[in-house]
Amino acid sequence: MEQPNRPRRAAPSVRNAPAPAAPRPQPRPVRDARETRKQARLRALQRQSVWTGAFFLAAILTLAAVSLALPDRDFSPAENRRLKQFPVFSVSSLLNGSYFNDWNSYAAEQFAGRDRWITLDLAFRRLLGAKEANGVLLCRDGYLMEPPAAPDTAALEKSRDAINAFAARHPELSVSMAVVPNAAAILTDRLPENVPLRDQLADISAFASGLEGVQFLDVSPALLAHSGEPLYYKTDHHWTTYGARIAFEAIAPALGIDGAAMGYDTYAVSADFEGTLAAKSGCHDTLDVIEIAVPRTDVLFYRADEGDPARLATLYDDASLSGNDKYAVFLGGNAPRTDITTTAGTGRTLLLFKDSYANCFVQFLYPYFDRIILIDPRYYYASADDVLRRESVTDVLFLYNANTFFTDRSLSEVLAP
Amino acid sequence: MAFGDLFFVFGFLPVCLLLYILTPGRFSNVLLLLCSLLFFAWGTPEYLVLMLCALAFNYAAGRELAALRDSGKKVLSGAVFATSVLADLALLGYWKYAGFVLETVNAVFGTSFAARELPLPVGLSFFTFSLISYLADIRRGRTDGSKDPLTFSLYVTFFPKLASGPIVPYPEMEAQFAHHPFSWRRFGAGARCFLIGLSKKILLANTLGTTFYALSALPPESLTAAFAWLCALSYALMLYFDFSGYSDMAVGLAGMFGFQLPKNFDYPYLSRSVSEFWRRWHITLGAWFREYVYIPLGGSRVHPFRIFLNLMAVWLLTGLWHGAGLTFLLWGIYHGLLVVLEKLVLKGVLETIPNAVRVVLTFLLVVIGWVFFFSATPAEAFTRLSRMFFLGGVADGAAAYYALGALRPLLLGAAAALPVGARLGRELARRGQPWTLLSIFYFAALLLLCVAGMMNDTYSSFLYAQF
Repeated sequence: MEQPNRPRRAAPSVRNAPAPAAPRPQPRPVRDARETRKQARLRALQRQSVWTGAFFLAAILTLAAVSLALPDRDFSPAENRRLKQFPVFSVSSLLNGSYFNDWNSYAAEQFAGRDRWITLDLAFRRLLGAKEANGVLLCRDGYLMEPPAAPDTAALEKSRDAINAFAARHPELSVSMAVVPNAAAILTDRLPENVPLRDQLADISAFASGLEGVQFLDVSPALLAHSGEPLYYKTDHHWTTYGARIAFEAIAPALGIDGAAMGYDTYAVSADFEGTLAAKSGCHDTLDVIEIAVPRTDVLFYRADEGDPARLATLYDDASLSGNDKYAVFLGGNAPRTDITTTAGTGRTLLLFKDSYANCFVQFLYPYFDRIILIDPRYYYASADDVLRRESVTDVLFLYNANTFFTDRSLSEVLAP
Repeated sequence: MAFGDLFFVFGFLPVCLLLYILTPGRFSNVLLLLCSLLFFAWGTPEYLVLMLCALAFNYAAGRELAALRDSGKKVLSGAVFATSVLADLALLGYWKYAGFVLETVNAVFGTSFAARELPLPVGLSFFTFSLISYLADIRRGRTDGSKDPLTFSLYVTFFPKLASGPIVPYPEMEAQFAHHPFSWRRFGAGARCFLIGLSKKILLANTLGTTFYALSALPPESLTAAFAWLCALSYALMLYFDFSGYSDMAVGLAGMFGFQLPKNFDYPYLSRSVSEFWRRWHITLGAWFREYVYIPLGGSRVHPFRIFLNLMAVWLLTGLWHGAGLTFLLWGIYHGLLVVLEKLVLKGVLETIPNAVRVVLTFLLVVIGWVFFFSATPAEAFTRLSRMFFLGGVADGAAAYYALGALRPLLLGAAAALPVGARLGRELARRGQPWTLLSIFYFAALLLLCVAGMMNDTYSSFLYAQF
């Protein structure tokens, strides 16, 4: 293999040895020593090349073979989505290029150890100082947070006008609203230093000042006062049962409820909750605990989701705890409309327009109303006025988190007369 | 399909390599051609027919040109040459510049022609330049061209260089098509080059890209000087690692198949003048323009005013080649003026300045140029430049956040943009055993991190329960 004097490879040494091809007439010890050393070094360099090549070929063949040999996964819990399956050939998929794209996706999504590679990459990027991953802020104490969303001004004004008009149409109702700030606006001391974010609390105040005939319930001061405590999940974009309770106790008087008098039995129902932000960021080094709070009360109730004949005597859905979206333990996730009928005997019926933040809030509300009608306008297509015509509603509450509400376009549709 | 895709590294490449190693030498060119056409068709299969037509047309034109040249029919050969080059330019123009031309026409005449949004054929800008150089080289008698249509097709479509160069004149590759035996030494050197290129792209360019895209998303009017510079610097390094990484991968891949392609980058950010920068940045493109535009126009052996015109023509075209848009045109003019300044006005003055100062000055001038390159409109570029020169405050807390986040990638990038690493690697490799082993570990670590980085590019979570 070593033939260092073949003309092709002799080229680089031309500078040092003007006539390498010429046969040496006499032995010249000094120069020979130098030549031998140079030859040895060249051999070492070539040996390194051969080893690098062998390593490279072995590495790509092994990884490719292992990936092919391992069974394909249908679903990735870490990413919370279905994964690409073996590309199916068809003439049309070949012609429109999707066949080739499928191969690209298939190779990546069924690669051996995909989740571990993602973890390795995140570790590398954090080592290089990354403070965000896929749009999620990597905060202190294992917190993952979403940056506050910029309000969609047009949609927000539409929602505000619709709420004001709704309140004006129904002066007999007591209408309240709470917009819950997200973790990044409350747990500010856990954020990466100097991270430039929108002032969500200011956005909320600005919105609240435009409401007319609606009682705005500001939960921010109470949450800020407890910002050292676990108000939000570390790996999910929701608030915890504890956070909801703090907010409930702060706004209960304004809702005409003596909420502080109630005691609760709290139970940890899951200790291995990995929420949406873990999936979005790819950061899987923290697990959350989900707690439920059961009021110490004699009030009984049943709950019914629209279109589902089942009457359930619980606010919790055990089955969700073994699934991927464990936050759905509260009310089984988002239904278009859920009715809760109780034995409270207060003569009050609450119409609650909500997003998923309210799902863990209801456990605090139910002892104080004969009936609670939950409507999630994102999935509900009938009109609110229709509900009012059929039910004897006394109170209306809008309960949203800021990130959803500021970009929501569905509430104004449901509120339209 | 890009070299930085998992499918390329772990699907396409190993299959091609295995087939290549197993195929007898006389069929290896056919195999490489098939691989290259598949590579071209990946993503936009509808252009395969277009490519085959372009190949047939230019092959025939090349044969015809060689015959006319040898029989001394100058006028006719000139006509054939002009027609074929125009046809190739038309190809480039239709796919790359039609939108820009129509936009300009619409803006000037208030018309509203709608341009069709077509996907670009893979490597269009590169293979059309290869075709033009092929014809020009035949006309000038530097080569007889290829008698074998398969060899000619492989020259144009050879997949390591198809998508992003380097642009190699045919005479430089002619002998290699006849003789490119597989050897483990060459293969290893190629693999090393490929791994280094891949690392540049995935570990450095993509990381710097995260910083750049976060910064460039902020409205340019609100930038402070620190921000604007951070943005421009991260772009300068990102672009260098992206493109030089891609070129390294191309050279490395060609090496694995026994071919030797010229290097495309030579530590350009250490240049002492803008003219030198262009001899060290995208070397083969600069060489192409010098060889097939500047010198045919008369080069430097004409009246200074003609030199000025020639240089400006070259850099206008260089600007337009990089992208169909006003910002690229301005970027080309900017570099053209700098080169003119160096060649015609500052001749002799530059040499009196210490090298270190020249390197820093050239780097800053180049970075300012990149602002035109990455801005969407000329207005945005000028806003950014004004902010870089302190028209919007010096720094703020947000700048500190991004600066801190970008610090390590920038430092790592700056270190990797210097030749010390490569020199150290070569020096150590020469020392033998333990270092050989260590270098294998080093490359293994790079490959590991690259796979992780490539995987993350495809990471996306489906948030069905988003609120």
